[in-house]
Amino acid sequence: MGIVATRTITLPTDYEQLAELEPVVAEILAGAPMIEDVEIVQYNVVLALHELCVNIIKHAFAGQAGQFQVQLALYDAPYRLEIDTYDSGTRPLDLGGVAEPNLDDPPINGLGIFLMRQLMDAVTYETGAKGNHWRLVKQLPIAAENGSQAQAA
Amino acid sequence: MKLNVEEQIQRTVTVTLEERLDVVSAPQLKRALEEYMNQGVNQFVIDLSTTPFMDSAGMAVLVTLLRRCRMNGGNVKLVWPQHEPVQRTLTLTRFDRVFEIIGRA
Repeated sequence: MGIVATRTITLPTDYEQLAELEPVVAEILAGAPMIEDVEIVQYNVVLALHELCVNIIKHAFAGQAGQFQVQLALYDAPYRLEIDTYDSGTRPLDLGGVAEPNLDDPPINGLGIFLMRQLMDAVTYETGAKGNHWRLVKQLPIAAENGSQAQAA
Repeated sequence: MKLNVEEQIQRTVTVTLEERLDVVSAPQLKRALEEYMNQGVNQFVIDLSTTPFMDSAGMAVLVTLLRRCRMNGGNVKLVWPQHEPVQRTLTLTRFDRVFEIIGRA
């Protein structure tokens, strides 16, 4: 098991800059061989990370100007993408207590957290003296040469 | 023969979203939709067929629109996206059950 590739970006608390996430995710996923349904996997990772960043800007920084760090690491054996965000927003952003939305009557708020949890394999959060730390993990389904899946999706 | 004919013309607004529907663009869409609602429109078709990306902020605008329209006896229909990841987001959130869908294969 080892790190195949890493990328680190620093984002300002500006929603317009979140479009930068897509090429960064695409670039690091390109380091993995033949991901099954790569377009969907990439979209889902970008959407989950986008939702997390929106929540960091909206809730942790609560309108205050600042910046936060996003670290992406591609691992092999098995292939997976781990994304860590570090922010020094003044408010803790523990969304663990956010209830599952009633999708038969979709809520105005809370869909972002729901999407994040659904699209990633693991979502964890911790807070400390240095601020908030989120980790998103996505297992990457790799296609075998014969076309069958070598790893579970 | 005496015929009593009553004709009602219903105004329907179709909005096609060809660019990202996200936290940046959602407020602009919300303002535009509110202008139509303030004019009395309560029938909308939101065309997502070419929408490349949609986040929860964009979805919140659609839910808000649906609630207000149904409260006033109207409805909101979504044109099914061609982009498969956007389709999956709608399915995951059950928007495909809550909204009336047009053009789903």
